[in-house]
Amino acid sequence: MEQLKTRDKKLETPVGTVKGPGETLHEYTFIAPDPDRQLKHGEFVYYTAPVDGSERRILGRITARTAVKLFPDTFMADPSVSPHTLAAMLGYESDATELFELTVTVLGYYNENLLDFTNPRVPPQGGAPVFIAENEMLTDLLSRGCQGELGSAYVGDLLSRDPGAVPVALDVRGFTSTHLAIIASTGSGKSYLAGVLLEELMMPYNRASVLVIDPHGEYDTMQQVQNLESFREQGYSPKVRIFRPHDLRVRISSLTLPDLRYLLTNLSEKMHYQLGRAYRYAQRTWGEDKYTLEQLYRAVREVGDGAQGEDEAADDDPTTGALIWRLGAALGGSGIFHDFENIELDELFRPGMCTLVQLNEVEPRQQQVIVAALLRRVYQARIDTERGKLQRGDRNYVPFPVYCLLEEAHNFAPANADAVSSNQLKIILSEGRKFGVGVGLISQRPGRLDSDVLSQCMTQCIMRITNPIDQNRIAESVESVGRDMLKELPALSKGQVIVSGASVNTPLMLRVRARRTDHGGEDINAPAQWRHWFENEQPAQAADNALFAEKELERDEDGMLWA
Amino acid sequence: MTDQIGVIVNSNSHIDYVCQLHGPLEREQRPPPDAYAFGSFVAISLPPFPATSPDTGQSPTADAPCLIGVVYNSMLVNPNFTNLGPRLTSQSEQTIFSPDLLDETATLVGVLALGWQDSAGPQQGTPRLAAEVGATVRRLTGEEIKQFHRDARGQLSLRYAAAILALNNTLVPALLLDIIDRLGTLFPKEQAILQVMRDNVAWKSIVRQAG
Repeated sequence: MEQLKTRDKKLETPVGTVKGPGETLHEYTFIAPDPDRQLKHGEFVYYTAPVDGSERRILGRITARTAVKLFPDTFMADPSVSPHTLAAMLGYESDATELFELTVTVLGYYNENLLDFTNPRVPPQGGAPVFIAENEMLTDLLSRGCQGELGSAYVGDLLSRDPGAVPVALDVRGFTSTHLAIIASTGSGKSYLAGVLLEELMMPYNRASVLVIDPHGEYDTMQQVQNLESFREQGYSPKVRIFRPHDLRVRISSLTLPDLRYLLTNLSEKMHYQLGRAYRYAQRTWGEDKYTLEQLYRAVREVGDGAQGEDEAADDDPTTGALIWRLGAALGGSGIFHDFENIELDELFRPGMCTLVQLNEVEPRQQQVIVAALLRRVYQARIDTERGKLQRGDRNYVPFPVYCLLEEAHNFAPANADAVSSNQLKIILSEGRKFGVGVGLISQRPGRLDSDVLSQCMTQCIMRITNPIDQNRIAESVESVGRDMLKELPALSKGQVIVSGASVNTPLMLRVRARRTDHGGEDINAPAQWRHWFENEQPAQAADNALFAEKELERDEDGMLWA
Repeated sequence: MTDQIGVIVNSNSHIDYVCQLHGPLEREQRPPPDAYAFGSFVAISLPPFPATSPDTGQSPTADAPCLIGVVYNSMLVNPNFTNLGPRLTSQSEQTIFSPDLLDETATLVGVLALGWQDSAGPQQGTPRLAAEVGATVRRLTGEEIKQFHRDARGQLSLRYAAAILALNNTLVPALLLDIIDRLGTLFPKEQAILQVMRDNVAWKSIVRQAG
C-alpha cells in the first residue's frame, strides 16, 4: 500500500518541462532528466491547458528521445572507470548527469461528446510542467471498450507500463464491422494473438459467431473454451466445432463459373468459352445449385463441337475431352467437392460458436475456392436475411452478424496475382459492414498481401516485422499507424503488438495477455525429437533388424533368397 | 565595529572595486579571515554619507545607502618583494624605529558590485551610483544576505548571475558555485532550484571543461 502511495505521488510529480513546439503542428518537445527511465518511447504524458473555460489534460505520446546532456566521450575512455566517479573526482558530485529532449505527438483532450481525442491545435506554453499519465487515466481513455463488458476484447496491457497496470480492451464492434488485420512475421505471436481474440469473442459478454479458416490446423486448442469455467455464464457455454479436411463438403453446383475456371488450370480460349456455355446450360437445364458433376460433364458434351449425346463419343472432340478430363481431375477426385452434400450455413455459424475449418492437406487452389465459396454463401445469406428475402426456417437464413478469421490471408488475397477468393474478400471488406459480415486477416507476409485488401482493414494489429518490403507495404496501406510507430516494428519482441485503427482511441503498443487456452501453434522441437529418436526409435529399429538377420536365409531352386 | 573589513582604494570598472583590508595600524583588531573570504558578501558605503577614511573611523549604519558586492579576488601588496639588498635594520628593529614602513604591506581584495541598497531596500543589478575612494567596506550579516536575495515578491533572486558569468573571469564559475552553496544554507526551502543552477554551472565549468 505504501509502495502504491509513493508511486501515485511519483505520478503527480512533473517529469519534464515543455521546451517548445515541435517540427509539426501536433508536436511539442520537452526536457526531462528521467533518472528512473520511465519516459519510454510510446509512453503517454500530458500537460494541462485551459480549453473552453476549464482546465483539461492534453494527452500525448512520446515519439522521439534524444540526449541533450551526456558525459563527454573522453570520460568513458576506461570501461572499468565510471564517468560518474571521474566527475565526482573533479568536483561534480550531482546525480544530474543526463538530460533528454523528448518529442511528443499530441493526441489532445478526450472529448466526451465525440468519444475521441480533440487536438487543442495550439502547442503548450514553454516551461509548462509535463506529467506522466496515470494508469487509471490511460485505462479510461485509451480503450474503446471496457474490460469484461459487452463488446470489449481485452487483448493485453500497455507495453510502457507494468503488466496488468493498463489493460486495453478493443472495441469488438469496431473490428467486426470494419475488419481487422493481424500482421506479423513468423514466430512473433500472431496465432497467439488471434487465439486471444477468439477467446474474447467467445466470452459470455460477446458470444460471437466466428468462422476460422485454419490452413495449418493449429487452432484445435480452442476447444478448451468449452470446458473452462471462465467462459460460462448463466446457461451460456461456448461451442467449438471443427471441420477437418475430410469433413469438408462443397457442393459442385454451388461453385460459380469463376470458381470452376480457377480450379481448372491451363484452359485454352476455346475451353473457357465451352465451359461458360456448359455452366449456363447446366444451370438452365437442371436449375441453379441443383446439378451434379455428371450433369456438368453432360452439359460440356451438349455444348461441345463433337457428336451430341450422352455417350463418350462426344469426347472425341479434343476440347470437350480435355475439359471433361480437367473437370474430373479437379472435382471428381476430390473428397471435398460433392454432388449433393454441402456444409450448411447453420452448421458453420451460430452465436456463441467458433467454427474451425481446417484446410491442411488441401491443395492451395482448392483452399482458395473453398474460402471463396464459403464467404460468398454467407455474404449472400446475410444480404438476403437483412433484406427480408429469407425468413426463419428458410435455408441460409442467418439473422446475426458473423465474423470470419482467415489465417495465411496472403494465400487468399495475394498481391500481383488473381485468386478467386481475392474478389470475394474485397467485396466483403468494402460492403460487408452493411450486412454484418466482418473479416479478420492474419498474415506473415504483408508484402504478398493485396494492398487494397490490407488497406480496407480498419483495425490493425502489427507485430514484429523485419522484412523491409513488408514494412513498406504496411506503411503504404496502414494510415493510422504513424511513422514513429512503424520504426518500432523490428524492435518489437515476441508477444508485443502495435494496435491501431477503429478499435482503439489511438495507436498503442501492447503486451498481449496470456491465453486461457493452450497455444496450438508451437514449433516442433527438432533437437529434442532427434534425441528422442536415438533413445527410443533407434533401439527398437535395431532390434527389428536383428530379428530379421537371425532368420536363416535359404536359396531355392531358381536361386532366389527366402527368409 | 568588527564587521568593517577595509576601505575602497581603487576600481577597475563601474562594478569592480579594490578594497584594502584594515591593517594593524588602523584597527586594533584586524578583520577575521572569513570576513573577506572568497565569496563573502560585503557592503560598500555610498554618498551622501561622507566617505570615511581609515583615519576617521566613521562607519555607515546598516540601512544606509550602499553597494552590495562579493569578494571575488585577493592580492597581497609587499614593496619589499624581490628587494633582496643589504639592510641596516632587522625586521624587529624596524617595527620600533619605522612602523610606517611596515604599513606599506597590505592585503587587497577585489569586490564585484552585485546590487545596491537604498531606501527602497536591497536591489540586484548594475548599480547606478559608484563608490568613492575611501568608502568603507563591511561584511554583510546572514539576514542581510537573505534580504538581498529576495525580490519584491519574496522569491529567491539571483539576477546578478548572468552579469558575473559574462565577466570572462576564470574565477567566476567558482565564485558562483560558492555563492550558491552559501545560499543553500540560508534558503533550505529553495534547495531544489539552487541545485539546478549549481549543477548547470558545475557541469559547464567542471565536466565540460575537463572533457
